[in-house]
Parts: sequence; structure tokens; C-alpha cells
Amino acid sequence: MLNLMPAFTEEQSMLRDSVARFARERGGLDNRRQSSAEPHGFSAEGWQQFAENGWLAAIFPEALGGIGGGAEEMAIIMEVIGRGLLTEPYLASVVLGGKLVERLGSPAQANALLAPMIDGRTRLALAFVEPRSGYDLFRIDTTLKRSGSKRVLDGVKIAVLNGDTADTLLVTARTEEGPVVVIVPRDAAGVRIDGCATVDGLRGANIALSSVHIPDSHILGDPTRAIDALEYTIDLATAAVCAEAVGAMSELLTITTEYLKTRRQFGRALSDNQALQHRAVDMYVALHETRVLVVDAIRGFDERLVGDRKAAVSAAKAHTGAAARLIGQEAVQLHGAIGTTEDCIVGHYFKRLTAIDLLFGNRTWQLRRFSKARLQQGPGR
Amino acid sequence: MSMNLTPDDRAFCDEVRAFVAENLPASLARKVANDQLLTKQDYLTWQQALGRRGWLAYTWPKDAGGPGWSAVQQFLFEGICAELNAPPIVPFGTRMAGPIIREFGTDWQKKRFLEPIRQSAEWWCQGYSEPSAGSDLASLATRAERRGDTYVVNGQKIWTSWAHHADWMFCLVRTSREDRPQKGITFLLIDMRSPGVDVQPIRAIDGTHSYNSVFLTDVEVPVSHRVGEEGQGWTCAKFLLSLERLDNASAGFIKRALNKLRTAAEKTQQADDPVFQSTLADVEIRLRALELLGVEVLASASEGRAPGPEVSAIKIRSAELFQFILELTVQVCGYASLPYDGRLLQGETSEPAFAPSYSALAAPKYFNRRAVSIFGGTTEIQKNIIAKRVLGF
Repeated sequence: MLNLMPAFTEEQSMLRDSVARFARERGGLDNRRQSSAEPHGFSAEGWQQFAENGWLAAIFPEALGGIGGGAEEMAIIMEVIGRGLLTEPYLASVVLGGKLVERLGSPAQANALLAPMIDGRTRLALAFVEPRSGYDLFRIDTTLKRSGSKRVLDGVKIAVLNGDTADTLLVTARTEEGPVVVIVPRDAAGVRIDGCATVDGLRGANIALSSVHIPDSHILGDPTRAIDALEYTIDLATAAVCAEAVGAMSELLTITTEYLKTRRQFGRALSDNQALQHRAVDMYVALHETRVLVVDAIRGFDERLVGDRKAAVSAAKAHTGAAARLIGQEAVQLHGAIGTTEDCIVGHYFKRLTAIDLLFGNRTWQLRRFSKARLQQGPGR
Repeated sequence: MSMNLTPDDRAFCDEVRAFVAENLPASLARKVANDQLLTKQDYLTWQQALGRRGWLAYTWPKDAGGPGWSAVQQFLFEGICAELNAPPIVPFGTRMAGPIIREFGTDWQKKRFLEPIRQSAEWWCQGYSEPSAGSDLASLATRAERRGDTYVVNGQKIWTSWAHHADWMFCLVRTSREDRPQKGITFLLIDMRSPGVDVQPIRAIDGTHSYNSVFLTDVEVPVSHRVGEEGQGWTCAKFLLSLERLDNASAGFIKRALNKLRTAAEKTQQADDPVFQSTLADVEIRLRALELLGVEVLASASEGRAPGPEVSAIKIRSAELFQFILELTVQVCGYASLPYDGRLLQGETSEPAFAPSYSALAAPKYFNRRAVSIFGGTTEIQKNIIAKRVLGF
């Protein structure tokens, strides 16, 4: 059951094959342990390979040094990341950071920030979650205010994915005119980064901002477009983790089915029990029902009307959250005691799937957003 | 939860509460309340205090040194201890090795082992499961070869909780191969300091260590450490099933988790959300059902009737509900569940470093407790018990 995100063109097939090769060599439990122990939480050499193979360029336009692909290429890469339990910060740097810069930044800003990122020399991280924000992208307490002739940034961000070692932070803030995104180098005065491991074996940070001076040139693009750009970016990132989850869930189904066939107790294979076969079938059905919703959310991502996009993304994410819960929990339970140990890869997939459900809106929140989006779409759609 | 308590029962509850207030250090109660890992000394502090009062072996009959409590009193004691965040009592000594030695042991064994168990002066672990013998325990293969006055034991036990703290292990070993595997099993008491005993930690997916593998290589066990006859080991183990009672501590753990869920919802402004309220109502109803089922079993026990296979239904629902509450808590905490606070989890500090205290350990707890539907009899085995013994399949 490989490769559930479709490859429609020859280039996409080649992309998928090359990323899959990387994951076969560098994925799996031992590699993950090693990567997690690296200073940045991933292998620097692995990230260089991402750069050299053009995977960091895949979803950016050629004018910005990219290869001209989009959401479909992103989904192909993310599915493999999910399958292989890879720790490379593609989501954080390329999708959350890079796509926001592309959508919102001025040409000069986009060139300055994206070129070194695509080369693998620098990394971006988007800081948009706050202690009181929940999943509301625009419930922002961080302020950008005038202080004499300067502008200063004050506030606290949490759950900054790979924010512990990113070179450049993109930070959402509130002004009197509305939300803005500001560019903050990690070593700017007044920036305090508290890095941590996350429960799924990746990295994140809490970031405190105290009167950080923001020159005009560091306001990302035209602030009146910030809302649309942020919503687009988070929707894209949501679709990305759905694709990652599909890869992870597919692996779990394969591993679990194999285990049921080989593990013997009471003189027979576990799979001789019809009850257990049916539970594996339930996992399969949930996976494939989720897959089509994710593929639908990805296809034509850039061409959709915003309301349609929100509905499709929320549909995919709500279902992904539910399927991730079922498949993750069942994989552990069907493996019995070994599924609860760190030595078995099943638990690691389960933890990552749990985290994915929490990112960008859990399933309850997504159902609500889907409802709202559908109401706005009106009857007859 | 209304139970008809007699004035004596109420006085008993007061006595238990007073004991806990006096003997449970606040810092230890806090660690338990915060789902932090406890040290060996943490467990011993509480258990030895209970032991000094004669309350550790609270299920033992009076003539064996137990306090002689009724089924209701045992139930109340468990509930109050859980409510006040006392550490869970490690069951392997008082609830397993002790009763078996009392029932099947030699006079020497009773004299040697029962008092230290009553006082928590020696730590016991359980050598039952093996990598190939989980639910199918009778297929165990650890061999014990008789050589004169000694058994020489070779094999591997797994999922041995707290083996790294243990002084003794009670162990099911195979002394012969028979037509039925149960017939060739023998019950041995193994000194964990014996040469050839090698304990290796197993890390759970939340990063904590409580289980172990115990490798046994030419371990010499005196025949005087065999409980019961050779080949009687399975009978000894099955004897414990006849002593099984519904432990009211699980309801206590569920209530503690539910309180944390309510706190998380309040702190994140989700308590008034209608969807959450509806889900919470369902949880509370399921908890009420569990409590009523528990009281029913208690009433049977008070009349001297041993719990039957319907207890499996309680175990199934109890595990499901506990796990669901933990899952829901992670959902409610959202992003605040993401940071991994290893130092807080391991009990090295009482201050969370990255997230508010109500969320800081929500995810590790959710991950770790996937085990409650697996250890001590999987949900699937519990369902088989009901299928066979209640529904007659």
C-alpha cells in the first residue's frame, strides 16, 4: 500500500521515487533515534540532501529559485516524511515559513529569505501560536507598537515548530490597523528562545519577545494582505500534515497486518481470529476514506475559492484526526505489550499521529470550521 | 456517589483520612497528583507507613496479620487513598506473593517472607510473562532443572514491573513438558541478588522506565524456595483468581483524570463549549455506571460471593473510560500538550518548564496509559472471558 498521494506527471513520479529512496535509507526507528539526538533534532547532512535534490525548491516558482511545483509536490514529499518518520523540518521551514514569505513578502524580501533557505543554508520558522490563542490564528496578543521613532515587538509565542534552531523567525503581531507578520532574526536583541523536544520526538520552542526593534523593512509585505496570506499558509500546512499522516497510517496498517500474521499465541496466529482481522479492516477503511479527502484538498489548492479551500481542508483534517486516533490506538493495542515500548516503531508513529491531530486545529475545531465554511457557501453546493 | 454508609463506616473513613493526613507527605501527594514518576523511596515511604499501622496487607485476614476489614472498608480505604493522591500500592508482595505463600508455602517460607511483605521491608516483582508467552502464559518456557537440592533456572521474563527495585521475584518456571503445558509449571521464589539474574530496563513510549526484562542464566534456586509441589505452579497462580476483587483505586484514578480534564477545559475557556459539555456529560454518565457496577460487586463481596466473570465488563469499561478521558485532555490542551518536559515527568522538578501545569504531562500520560487495556489481561482476553463464561459461546 505505497504512495497514496498521487503523482500525475512524470516529474512528480520521479520526485516521489527519489524521496522514497531517501526514506528507505534514512527512515525507520534507529535513524529516528539518531536524528532526534542531533543538536538540531535532525541530521544536517540529511537536510543538505534535501537541498541538493531540489526538494526545498519543489514548491516555489522558478522566479524565486524554485521548480514551479505546488501543493501536489508538497503532498508527495510529506507522505514520504510520514512513512519514514523523518525528522527533517520541511513543514516548518519550507511550508510554514517559505510559503508565507512567497505569498506575502515583497520581491526583495522573498528573494532575500527564500534563496538561502532553498539552498539549505538557512531555515525559517513561523511563530503564530500564543498561550491564549487556541486555534484562532487572529487572536493575537503580541503587539507591534510605535515607540518614539521605532517600532517594537512584545509578546510570547509557543509551539514554534523547529523554532529552537531556525535562523529567521516570522512572527505574527497585532497593530492598530490589524495583524502583521514581522521578520525577526533569531539573535535580535530582546528575543529569548526556549527550545524543547516535542512529545512526538521533534523540536519546538517557546519564544519571548521584549521590545524587539523592528525596522520598517522587516514588516513582511503589505500588511493589508497578511490575513489572506496567513490563512493560505496555515491551510496549506494543514493539508501537508494530512498527507504526512496518510503516509504514517499506511505504514502502521502494513506493520500491524504483518504482526497479526506472524505473532502466535494459544497455538495459532493472531490473524486466525476473525475479530482481529476485522479490526485491521476497520483501519484500512478509515485510511482510504481519509486518503480521498486529503487528495481532494490538495488538488487545485491554489485555484480554489477561499471558502471552498477551507471546507476541503477542514474536511480532510477532521477526518485525518479521527483516522489517526483510530489507527494509532489500534496499532498499539493489536501489538500488545510491545506496542507500548520505545523499542517498537509503532509507538513512535502513534505519537506523531497524535501530534498531527493537534496541529492547526484538532478534529472538533475542524468540524466547526467546516460547518461555518459550508454555511457561507450556501445551499446547493 | 451515594452509598449507604453506617456510622461505623463513616468513623472508619475519618480514621483513614486522618492517617493519610499524618503520613502522606504533601510533596509526595503533589508528585502523584501531577502524574510524575515516583522513586523507590517514594513508594517505600508510603508503604512502610501503612505497614507500621498494619494497613499495608489490608486484604489479609486478621489471623494472617491483616486489619480484618470488611469488603466495604477495603473499598472505602482504596477510594480515599486515591482521592488524596497516595501512591498506588505495589501489588506484587501483599496481593500476590503473600497470599500464595500463605496458602501453599512451607512453614519456613511463611516465617521468612510474610512479615517483610506486611511491612514492605522487601520488594517483590512478578516473573510471569515471556516474549513468547503473553496472553498465553501457560506456554512459558523458562526452564528449571532439578540438581540435588537446587533448581538451575534459565530463561527470560519480560514486563517485570519494578524488577530494578526488587529484592525477590516470584517466578513461574517449567520443570517438565507434559501433555498439557500447565501441568509442568512450578512456582519458585528467586532472590534477585542471585548470580545469573540480569535486569534490563524497558522504556515505555513516554520515555519512562518501570518494566524490565529479567534474564536468568544458570540461576541457582534452593528447593526450599519452591512454593507448593513441583508441577503445582499453575494451581498456585490460579489461586489468585479466586482472591480477585474489584479494586476501587481505578475509580479513583479515573476521577483524578476527570478533574484534570475539567481544569484544562476551564483554563482554556472550553468548559462552556456545548460540544465539550455534551462529551463531558457522556463521560460522567459512564463513570456513574462504573461506580454503580462497583458497588454491586461490593455488595456481592460483602455477602461472601466471589466476583464472577461480569467483573471483566467493568475492567473493559474502566480501561476505555480512563483512556478516553486522557485522550480528551490532550485534545483540550491542544498546542500546550506538545512540549516534552522530561525533567518534570521524571520527578526531578515540580515546576513545568514549557507549558502550564494542567497540560505539561497530558500527552505522556495519554501515551503511557495505552497500557491499561493491555497489561493485567488485555481487553481482548476480558471479552473472551465474557463470551465463554457469560454468553456461553
